[in-house]
Amino acid sequence: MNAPTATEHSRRFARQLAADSGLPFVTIDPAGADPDDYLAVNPLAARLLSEQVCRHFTMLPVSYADGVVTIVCAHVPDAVAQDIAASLTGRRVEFAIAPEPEVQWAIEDTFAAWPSSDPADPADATFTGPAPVTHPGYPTRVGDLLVARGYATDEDVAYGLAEQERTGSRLGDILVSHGVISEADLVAVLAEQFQLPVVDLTDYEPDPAALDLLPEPLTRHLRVVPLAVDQTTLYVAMADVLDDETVASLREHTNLELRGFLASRNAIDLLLQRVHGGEYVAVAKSELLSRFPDESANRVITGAQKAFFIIVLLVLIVCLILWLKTTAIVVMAICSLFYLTTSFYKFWLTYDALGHTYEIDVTPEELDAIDERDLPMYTILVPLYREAAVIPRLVGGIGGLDYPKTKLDVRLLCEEDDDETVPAILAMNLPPHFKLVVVPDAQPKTKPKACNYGLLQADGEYVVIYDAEDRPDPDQLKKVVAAFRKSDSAITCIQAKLNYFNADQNLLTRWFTTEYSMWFDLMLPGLDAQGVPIPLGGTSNHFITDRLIDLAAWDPFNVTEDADLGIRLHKAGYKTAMIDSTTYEEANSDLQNWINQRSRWIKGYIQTWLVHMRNPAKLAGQVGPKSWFSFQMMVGGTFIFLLNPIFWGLTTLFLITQAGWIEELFPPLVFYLAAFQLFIGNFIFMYLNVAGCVQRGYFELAKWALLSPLYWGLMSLAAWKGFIQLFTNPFYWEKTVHGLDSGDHPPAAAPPARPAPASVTAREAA
Amino acid sequence: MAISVEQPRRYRPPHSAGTSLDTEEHGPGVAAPRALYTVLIVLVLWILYSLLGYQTTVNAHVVVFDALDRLSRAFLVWHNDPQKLAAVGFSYPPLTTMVLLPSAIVKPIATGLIALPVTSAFFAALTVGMLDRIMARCDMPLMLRAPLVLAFAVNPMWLFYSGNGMSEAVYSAFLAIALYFFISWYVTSEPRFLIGSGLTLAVLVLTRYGFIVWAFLLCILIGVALARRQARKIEIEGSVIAFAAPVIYVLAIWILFNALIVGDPFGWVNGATSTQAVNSAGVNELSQLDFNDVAKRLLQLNVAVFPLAFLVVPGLVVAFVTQRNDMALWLSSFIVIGIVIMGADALINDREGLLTLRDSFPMMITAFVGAGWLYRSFVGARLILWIVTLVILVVGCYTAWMGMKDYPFQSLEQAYTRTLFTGKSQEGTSSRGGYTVGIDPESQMAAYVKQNVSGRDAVLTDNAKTFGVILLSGQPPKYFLRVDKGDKKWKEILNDPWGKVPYIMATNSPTSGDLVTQRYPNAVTGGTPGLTPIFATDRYTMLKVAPTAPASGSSTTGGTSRSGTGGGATSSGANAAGVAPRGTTTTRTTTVTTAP
Repeated sequence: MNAPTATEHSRRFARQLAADSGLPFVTIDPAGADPDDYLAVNPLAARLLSEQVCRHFTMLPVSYADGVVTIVCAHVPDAVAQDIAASLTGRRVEFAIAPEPEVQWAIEDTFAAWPSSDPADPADATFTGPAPVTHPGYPTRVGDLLVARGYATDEDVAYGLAEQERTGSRLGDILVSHGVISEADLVAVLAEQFQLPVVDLTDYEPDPAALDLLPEPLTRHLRVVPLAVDQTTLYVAMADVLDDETVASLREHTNLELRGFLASRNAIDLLLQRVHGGEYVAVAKSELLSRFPDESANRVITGAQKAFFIIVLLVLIVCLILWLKTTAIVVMAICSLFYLTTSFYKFWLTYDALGHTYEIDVTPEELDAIDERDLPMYTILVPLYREAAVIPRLVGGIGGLDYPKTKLDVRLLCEEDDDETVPAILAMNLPPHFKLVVVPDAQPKTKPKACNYGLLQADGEYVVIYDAEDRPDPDQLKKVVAAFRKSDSAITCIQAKLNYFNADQNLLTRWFTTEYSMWFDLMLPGLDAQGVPIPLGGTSNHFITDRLIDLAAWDPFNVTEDADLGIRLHKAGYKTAMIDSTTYEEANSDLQNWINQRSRWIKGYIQTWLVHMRNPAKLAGQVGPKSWFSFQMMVGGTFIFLLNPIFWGLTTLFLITQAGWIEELFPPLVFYLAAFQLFIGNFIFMYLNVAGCVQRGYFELAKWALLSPLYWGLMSLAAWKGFIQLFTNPFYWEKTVHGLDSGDHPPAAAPPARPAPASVTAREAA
Repeated sequence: MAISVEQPRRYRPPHSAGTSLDTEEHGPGVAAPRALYTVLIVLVLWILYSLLGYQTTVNAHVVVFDALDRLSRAFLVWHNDPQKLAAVGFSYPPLTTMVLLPSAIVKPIATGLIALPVTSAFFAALTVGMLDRIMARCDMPLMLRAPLVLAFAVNPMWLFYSGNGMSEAVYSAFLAIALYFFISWYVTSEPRFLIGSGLTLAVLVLTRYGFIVWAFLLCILIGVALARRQARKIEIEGSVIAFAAPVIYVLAIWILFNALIVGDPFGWVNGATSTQAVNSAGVNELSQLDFNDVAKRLLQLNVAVFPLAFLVVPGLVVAFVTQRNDMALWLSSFIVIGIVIMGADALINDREGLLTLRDSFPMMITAFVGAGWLYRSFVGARLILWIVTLVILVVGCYTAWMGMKDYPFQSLEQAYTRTLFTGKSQEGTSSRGGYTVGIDPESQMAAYVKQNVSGRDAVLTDNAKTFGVILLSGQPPKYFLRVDKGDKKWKEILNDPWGKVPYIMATNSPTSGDLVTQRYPNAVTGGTPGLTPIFATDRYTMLKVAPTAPASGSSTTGGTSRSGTGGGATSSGANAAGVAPRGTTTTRTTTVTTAP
């Protein structure tokens, strides 16, 4: 229907009315309008009020931008009209005066017939029409509707409104996140409120022609899925009424009118995954390779590196043949010097950290001052593989986070062939902030690839990785947000500390805990203080999402993608900082499992070293000599685990046999270096493990730390396993089995609980 | 389904401090001096002490032979052939020799004896720097602590040991560091200080074995103090372990080294210790000591070396009683126990000569620290305490001077006072205790070797006694030493030197403990066939070894050219500082076999 052009008289009248009442004048008829007065009608915003209300008050919502609904009226709205408009839309409203013919026309046009909802038509079987709204004149806000339909009680809504006041989230989302109502319930209520149809996307196959109209990044960004298209109209599934900007974007891309259908966010996510999964996985595994090929570990060593190592090996062999003793002495001397230098450097870092606090300090006052309404969306990526048993604990751990659930975007990343975890998650009927992401089966099947896949769908301004068994400090997310806000803008990653909750399970877990205490409480803060690259920990690294994506996120071919990313961050000019917040993990308590895990770490560190040393001079130019040196000590220092058994073997052999040829390998200066390292260096590191425990308050572990040399023996065993695997199976991911702890872990301090109504707690306990 | 929030058992907010020990209010604290400030103090004093030490040690020849011995060992590590770390030996606590290693690398610095004042000056300066930081930790502002620190720094006893290369400055520095860490731990309860004190104690026991007792006592005191503050059992255990681990480790390693190399794991306990008898023959010792005699000497030492203890010990006891101040008890205990150990050692061994001036240094340092703690503890009486402390320190300079002049059991302190007073060289003069001061006999013999001896392993000698000559010659490869191929091989050659070594060098004194002189007691007088004296100084004689073994009963005569300045009790001939092992005339063999 063509819009009737308002007469000049009516336009003049409306303009005068607007001037007298202090409201703006607009025209919604593009034909006869002054461009300055023209305001286009957003067809989806127009559905924010029911037809009856619109006709009764001769008003129509035409625009929805920045949380404000603009309603055009033919007359100055009285207090009742204003109240009803605000109540029914659930948003801030502003009024404008438009000529009456135009308003009437727009109402007619908006409430013209929608696609058929005839149940007899199988093609339309998935469409459900809106339930009748309440009687006109009664406010029917979301909360009122939920109570009226029996989905929630007044107490529930009051609780939700209180949280809304605190967090700024929407009432429906809050009630869903607390399990008061389901997503389906909310969608039904929103459909009733906005007079929009609902669509079930479970097995829906969108029209490919419709999909082609909108690029995937746009659909992901807007969270809409094109469903069908005809000559004039594009039909889209959406989770909420779209604002003006969104509508404009869609129109610009399609030159079509829009008709929206409500669906839950999760349903839209799953449909997007289903439709674009192949594309996502291609990006996940090849983004870094295509954008930064020199930084990908898809090749263990380059041709140039291969040539270099072969030449070195040949030279060494020739020298050994010609000058056996001298060559051996030189090799011993170089190894001893490297050993000593690494030890000194690490000792200096850790001792310096012992006397200082280098982590970003977020005080309790700063935490209390955080306005939850200003908190951003936070994405939590949790890669899983055959870990159904730990899902409940995982959910509990994330549930304990002191962060508005409506602002969490928890993505459980499962592999397609994981027929254990996926069904378990589906059966748990988790709240909507938990989203199942099924990663299509593709090589390399690694954790970083899964994380990349999940990152593509991340909603959060920040993103963090947690492992399945992780238990972060409840206030960790808020601390990180505060830390990012008060820190240098170059800080792109904040690493929390890791430690173990099952330290006293057995000797292995005690050793592991002493090692981690030293590493995260002393070594990494020491590196942070020096402004050199920090090899990140496996979890609890918090990123600014956009920058992570710019860097092409994690290398799917690197089995210690975290350490590698820490180096790449530094190379890109970004910084990493530490924060004094701990995530507790499960320490490996089984020896074989531990060796597998440690071998992967060492393999990954060697991979990382090889990747970034493809062009040593270029690396030095990128990071500077200090960072270059630190990289050699921290990442290149991994080779020490390979050297250890050789040196210990020689020492033991000499003590037993007093063989002269061993003595000859160590002329005085070399001997002094090696002896110093053996007796002093080793002790210093053992003692620093003690220091790490005491620094952290783990006094009971101090005595076990004294047995560290035995632990180092195990590390060397794992190191050789990893080193060999680097050549035989470089991308193989040694999966760490979780859930081996004793399971008896009493509660620890949780954030102060806000009183919840009985019904909420009852539902959450159900 | 129920989603319960489980939290891990291990969860406990990580904390960097243990149970707080210091519960008293002491008023506003004083900011710790900036590191640069301490570095500046150390640098300035290092230079000043080095210059003074150079003047007295190198120019005036007030050389303590203990120090010379250690320097010689450090020199052998670098410049002998083959080079061996084992040349450090096992008769002294090893670190007192190892601190000389850096300066001994440069030959002229070692052979010119410059290494001695430079090394001890560094540690003496470091001690003063740390004492300043301790005073700041005790809430003493700069204006007040500067005079105290200055008074300490110019104490003549301190000046002597700051420039003579002896081990006192070395262990004093580590003791000051350990006390700084310990007090800091007590005040802040930060674990890093406990760890620092443990590490420092570990170093300290290798500079003076007597500190093993301190380490043991500190372990007990840490446990007691934490228990009194109702710390958890696990915290007490962990804290004691964190503190004791380095000490136990170094002792274990030292025992292991002694077992492997010397063949006697605990010989170091009974052998040359830090408490040396310094009197060789010049002072009459009481033949039988009783308690009163010991008490009298201890009192003299107290007055001369650590007069602050008269104020500090009672004051700290009062602080402990009135304030339940554990640190006060500890500090006073250290002083008292130190005195008791000295006295007990002398009584048990019946050797008055063990009550030496220098062995009182630990009490001197601790008394100074104790004075600072008193200042901290009695807020209302700070000014008075400060004034009294300053007065005692100033008076202590005088009492130290007098003690250095007159106290019988010393290490050339008297000669030092003379050189300070007159500015003249003390070469050839005597010092309290009956020693001849100076190194001319060593220099002359060294010059002879340099001019007249050539070739490797040409001169067989007991390096434990002729170290001065070896060092001053600067040519250790010329000597065939016990450390070269081990005692067994060396003794074989000693017993049958004919045709194997061209020369043998011996000390002139039959009681010096020289193995050569013991083997051939008449050699230096020409009474041993096949060994002809060819050159002699006041302390040493070079013997020419016959190419073939002499027939039994023949005697050889030979001229000797003897140079010497004469003078002094050369017949007593012992080194000018107490290297004679306590209570024995035979030197414990320091087997320095080839080390891996």
